[in-house]
Amino acid sequence: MIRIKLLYTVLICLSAWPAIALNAQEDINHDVIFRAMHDELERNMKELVYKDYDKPFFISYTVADMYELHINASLGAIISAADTKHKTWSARVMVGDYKLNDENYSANVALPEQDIPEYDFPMDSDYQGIRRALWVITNNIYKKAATGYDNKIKTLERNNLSPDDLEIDDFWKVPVITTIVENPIQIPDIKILEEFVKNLSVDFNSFAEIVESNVTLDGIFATVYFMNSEGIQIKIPLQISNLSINAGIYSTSGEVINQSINYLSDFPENFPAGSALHEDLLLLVKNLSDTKNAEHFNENYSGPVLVEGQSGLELVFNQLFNVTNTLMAYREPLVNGNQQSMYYGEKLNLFETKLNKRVITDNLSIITYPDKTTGDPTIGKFRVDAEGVIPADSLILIENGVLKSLLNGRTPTRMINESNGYNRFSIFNGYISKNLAPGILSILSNELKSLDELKKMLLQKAKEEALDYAIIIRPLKKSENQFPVNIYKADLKSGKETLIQSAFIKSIPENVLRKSVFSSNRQMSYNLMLNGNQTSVQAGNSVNYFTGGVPVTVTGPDAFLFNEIEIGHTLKPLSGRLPIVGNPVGEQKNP
Amino acid sequence: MGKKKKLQITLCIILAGLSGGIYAQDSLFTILKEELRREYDVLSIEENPVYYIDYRVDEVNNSVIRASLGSLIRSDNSSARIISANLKVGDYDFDNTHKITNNIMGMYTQEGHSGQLPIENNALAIQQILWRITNSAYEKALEAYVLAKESQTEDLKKSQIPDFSKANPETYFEEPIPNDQKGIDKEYWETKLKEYTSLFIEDSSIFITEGYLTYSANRKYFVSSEGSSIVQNQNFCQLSFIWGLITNDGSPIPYQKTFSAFTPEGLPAHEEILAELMRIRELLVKLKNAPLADPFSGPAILSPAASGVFFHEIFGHRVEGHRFRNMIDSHTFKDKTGQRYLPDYINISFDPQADKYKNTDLFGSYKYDDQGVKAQKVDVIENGVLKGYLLSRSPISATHVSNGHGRAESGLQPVSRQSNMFVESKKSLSESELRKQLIKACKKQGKTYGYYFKNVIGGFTQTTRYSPNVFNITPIEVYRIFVDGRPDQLVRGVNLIGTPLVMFSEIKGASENREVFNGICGAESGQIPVSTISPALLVNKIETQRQPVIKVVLPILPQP
Repeated sequence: MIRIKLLYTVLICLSAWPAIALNAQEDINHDVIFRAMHDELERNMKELVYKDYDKPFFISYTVADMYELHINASLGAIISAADTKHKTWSARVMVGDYKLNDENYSANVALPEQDIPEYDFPMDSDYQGIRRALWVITNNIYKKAATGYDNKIKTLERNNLSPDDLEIDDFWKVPVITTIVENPIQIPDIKILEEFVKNLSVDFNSFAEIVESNVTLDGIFATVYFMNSEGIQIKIPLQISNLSINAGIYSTSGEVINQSINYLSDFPENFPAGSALHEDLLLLVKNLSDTKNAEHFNENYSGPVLVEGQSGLELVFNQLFNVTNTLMAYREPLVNGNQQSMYYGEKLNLFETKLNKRVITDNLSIITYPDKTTGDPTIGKFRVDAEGVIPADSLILIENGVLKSLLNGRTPTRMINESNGYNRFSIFNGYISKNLAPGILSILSNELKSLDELKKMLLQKAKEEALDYAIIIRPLKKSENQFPVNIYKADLKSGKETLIQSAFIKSIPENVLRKSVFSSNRQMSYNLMLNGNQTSVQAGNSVNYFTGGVPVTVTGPDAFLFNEIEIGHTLKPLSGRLPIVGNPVGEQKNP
Repeated sequence: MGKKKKLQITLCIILAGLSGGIYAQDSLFTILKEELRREYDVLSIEENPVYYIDYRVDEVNNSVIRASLGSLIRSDNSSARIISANLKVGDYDFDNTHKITNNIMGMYTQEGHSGQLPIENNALAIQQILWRITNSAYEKALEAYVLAKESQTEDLKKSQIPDFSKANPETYFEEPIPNDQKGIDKEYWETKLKEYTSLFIEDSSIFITEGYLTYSANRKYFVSSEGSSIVQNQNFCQLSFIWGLITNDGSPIPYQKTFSAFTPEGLPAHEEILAELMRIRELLVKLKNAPLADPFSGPAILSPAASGVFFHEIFGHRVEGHRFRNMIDSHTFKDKTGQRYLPDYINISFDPQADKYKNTDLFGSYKYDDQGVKAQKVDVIENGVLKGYLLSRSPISATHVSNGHGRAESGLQPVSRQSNMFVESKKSLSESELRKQLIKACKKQGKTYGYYFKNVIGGFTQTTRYSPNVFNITPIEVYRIFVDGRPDQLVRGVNLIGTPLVMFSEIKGASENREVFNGICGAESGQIPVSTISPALLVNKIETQRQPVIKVVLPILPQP
C-alpha cells in the first residue's frame, strides 16, 4: 500500500531557474500527470499480484514531458527544422524487501507467456492515457521482478544460503522528500531560433576556402516527474541547448578537414552574444586555413605533453570516468551458476577495491558539488537525483590522490555505504533514464605553476629524455565551450611552437595520473553531456546530431603537464585530387 | 565519346535553359539546372569524361498523427528536400556501373550520392551542397570506371549489353503545391483519430488499437544533362488502423485497415469510416472465437485485394527487368517472352499514367519515373502469354530501352519497379458463379470445404537462386466455404504459401468485379507506392501453413 508520507518537504526556489512558484501542494493535487502517476501507483501497490508470487514492495515512476527541437542551416538557408512534443518514461518495480529483492541478480528466468507490448505515453496531459501506459509498464516489469525474486530465493535455498549470508543489501532506505520546482518549461519560439541559426550560418558566405559549413541548434526542454511508493515526489525542469558551428576545408591532398565549435547551455538565450559567436566563427575559419597549411606530422612521439584549456580538463576527466577506472560505484550482481552455485560477479571497476588507497598523484583532489559558482555557465547544477536523494553540499571523491568515495545511488555496493545522491536523470535520444554522474566536478591541484613555468618544465623534461621537440596540445580558444584542438611541436631551444596536422593522441598510459602532474594556476570550467555523443554524419553536409546525456560541469586548472602521452599520426596521402569544378562560394578554381 | 556528341548534349542543356522562363516561379528548378550545367561543362571534357549527370530532388512535406486507444501519441510535421545525384563516367555502352566480375555473386558499383538540400531557395547554399555531392559522385564514378576498364576480360567484352539506355529529353512542369495543401487540418484529424481509436477501449481483449494519419505532399524535381527538366507533384494520404487481439486460447491476432487517397479530402467521409470501424469491431469479436485452421491443400478464392497482393508478389517482382542483370536472381521469366504462363483469358499490364480506377486514387501513378522517362503503359501478359518486362534505364538486352518504370524512394537510386498493375480477365464470373466453381472443384478433389481469402495485410517473395522461390501471403480474414451449403466459417492462423509457376497453372477463373489495393512496396530501391487492380481469383489448389504460435496474456489488473 502506498503511503504518501511527507516526512519533510523541500521546496526549491532558485533565482537562476526562472518562473518558479511556491504552490507545490496545489500542483501535486491538480497536476494531471502527478495524479495519474499517483493513482496507478497506489492501485498497483494495493492490488498487483501474479499467481503465488510476492507482491511488489517498491514502485517508482519517472515521466518526462518533453519538447525537443533541431534546427540545421547552411549559408543562410534552413536545411531542416523540426520540433516534437512527446512523453518518455522509466519505471522500477521491486519484489522482496530492502535487504533482498529481485535486483542485482543475474540468472536466466523466462516467463511462460508473452505480455502485451507497452503503450506509448500520450503527448497531452491525458489522465486516462497516462494511467493506461503505466498500467502495462508496471505489470510487465513486476512479472519479471516477481519471477526473478522467486528464482533468487530458491537458488539461495538450494545452495543452503540465507539472506543474512549475503554480503551486500539490495536497496537502501532514504528520507522521504518532496521537491517541486514549479517551473513551467519555457518553450522557445522555433521561428526566432531558425532566424538565429540562419543568421549565424550566413557568415560563412564570404569564405571561398570553406567547402562545407553548417550551424545546428538542438534543444531538450523537459519537465520531469518522479514518484515512488515511499512517498518521494519530484517535479523539476531539465533543459539543455546545444549549438554547434561546423566547417570543412579541403586539405592539399583533397580530403575534407572538418572542425567544429560547440556551446552547451540550459537555454538558447544563454549562448554567447551574436558578436562573440561571429568572432568565434572567424577564428574557426582561420584555424582551418592554418591547419590546412600546417606541417604534416609523420612521426610517433612519446614523452611529456602540455595539455591546455578544456583539453587538459577533459583528459583528466576521461581518466577518472572510463570503463575500468571510474569514480562511479559498481554493484557486482549475485550470479546464479546453473541453479547449483552462487557467486558475486566480477568487479568491473578497478577503483571499487581501492577505497582509502592512493589511486592518482597526491597533487590532485577531486570533489563534486550539486551546486557551485564557477564564474561560467554551469549545466551540471542539480538539486535532487533520479531516486529522490538530495546530495550533500559537496562530496570528496579523491583527496590528495587517495580515493575517498565513489558516486552512488540507492543500490548498495561493496565499498560505499549509502546513497550520495548522484544517480542523476539522463535524457538520451529522447528517452529518460538515470545514470551515475557528477554535478559540478572540481579538479584541484596543489602543484600550481604559471603557464610559462609549465612550458619551461615541458621543454626541460623533453631535453632530459633526449627528445628532439616537445608537444603542446591546445584548443583554439580557452573557454567553457568546445573548440577545435590543435597540436604543436615546441622547439626545445627557442620554445617556438609549430602547428602540425595529421597528429592525434594515440594512447595515454593507464597510470598517467599516478605520476606527478603539474597544473596551471589559472582556473576554467567546461560543460559536457556525460554518456551522450554527437555523431557526425555525411549527408551532403556534416551534421552533428545531439543525443543528450547527463549535463555535467568540470572545473579546474586550465593546463596540465603530463609526464608521458603518445602522439601518433594519420597516413599522409602521396597523391590526391581536388575538385575540378570550383566551389560556388567565390567560384574559385582549385580551392 | 566524340566531341560532336558532347556538343549536342551541351546544346540540349542550353536550349532547356532558354525555355526556363515559364519556370521562374520555381527557383529551385533553375538552381538545379544551373549547377548541373556548371558541373557538366567542366566534367564532360575531362580525360575520362562524365557523359551523364542527373539531379533528382524530392521535396517532401510529411504530416503524421498517431493515436492509441483514444489518446493522442504524436502529431508532427516535417519538411525536407532529398537530393540524389547520378553521375556516369564513360559512355552509354561502358560506364562506371559496368559489371567487373562474372562470378555468380555479380558486383555493381555504387551509382548514386544523396543528401539533404536546404528547404529554402537560397541559391548559394543549394549550389554548394550540389557541388559537394557531385564531386563525391565523380570521385567514386571515376574510380569505378578506371577499375572496370582495367578489369575487363575478353570473355566479358563479347556479350555486352549497354550499361545505360538512351532516353528522350523530357520537359514537364506542374504548378507548385499551394501552401495550404502541404499539410493537414491537424485539429480535425487529432480529434477524429482519438474518437476512432476510442471505439475499441471497452473490449479488453483488443489490446492494441492504433490509428495513423500520414499525409505526404511531394514535389519531385528531375534535371539531367540530356536536357530533361521535369517537376511533378505526388501526394499520398493513408488513414491506417492496426489492432492486436487476444483470442480465447491466448493467441495474438493482428488486423489492419487502411483508407487511401491522394489527399485527406479524398478519404471516405467520417460516417463511412465510422461504419467500417464498427464492422471491424464486430469482426474482431468473431475472430476471437474463430477456430484455428489446419494446414490445407485445395481450392480457394482469393478476393480482389488478396489476388492483387498475390500477383504483385509472385508475378510483378519477377518481371522487374533489372533483376535479369543480376546473376543471383533466379531469372524466372528471363528470355521467356512468347511463352504462356497464365490462362488465355488473363491480361496483365502496368499503367502508371492511370491515376484513378473508378473513383479510387491509384498510388502507383506518376507522369515521369525517377529517371526522367515518361510513364508508359506496359503490357506484360496478353492472353496468358508473356509479352514484356518493366524496364528502367538499365537495359537487359542491346535493344531494350526504359518503359518508364525506373523508380526509387527519395535518396536511393532507381531500379525497375512496379506501378499500377491491372489484372484483367476476359472470361469473368459473377461472385456466385465463382463460389459454385469453387464447390465443384472441392467435390472433385474430395474436400469438404475450400477457402476464401478476403483480406490480407501483405506478403513477401524470394527471387534469388540461393533460396526456394516461394511466396508467403499473410491473410487476416479467411473463411471456409463448405460444399454442403453450411454458412461460411471464419478461421484464423494460416498463411498462404506456394511457388510461382505452380500457382499460375492452378488459376481457373476470375471475377467480373475488380478492386484496388493500394500499398507501399519495399525492395532494393526503397519504399514506393504501388497499386493493384485485380479481380477475385479461383485457384484450383492452394496451400496454407500454420502461423507461429505465440501465447500472449493480458495484464493482471484490469485496465484503469
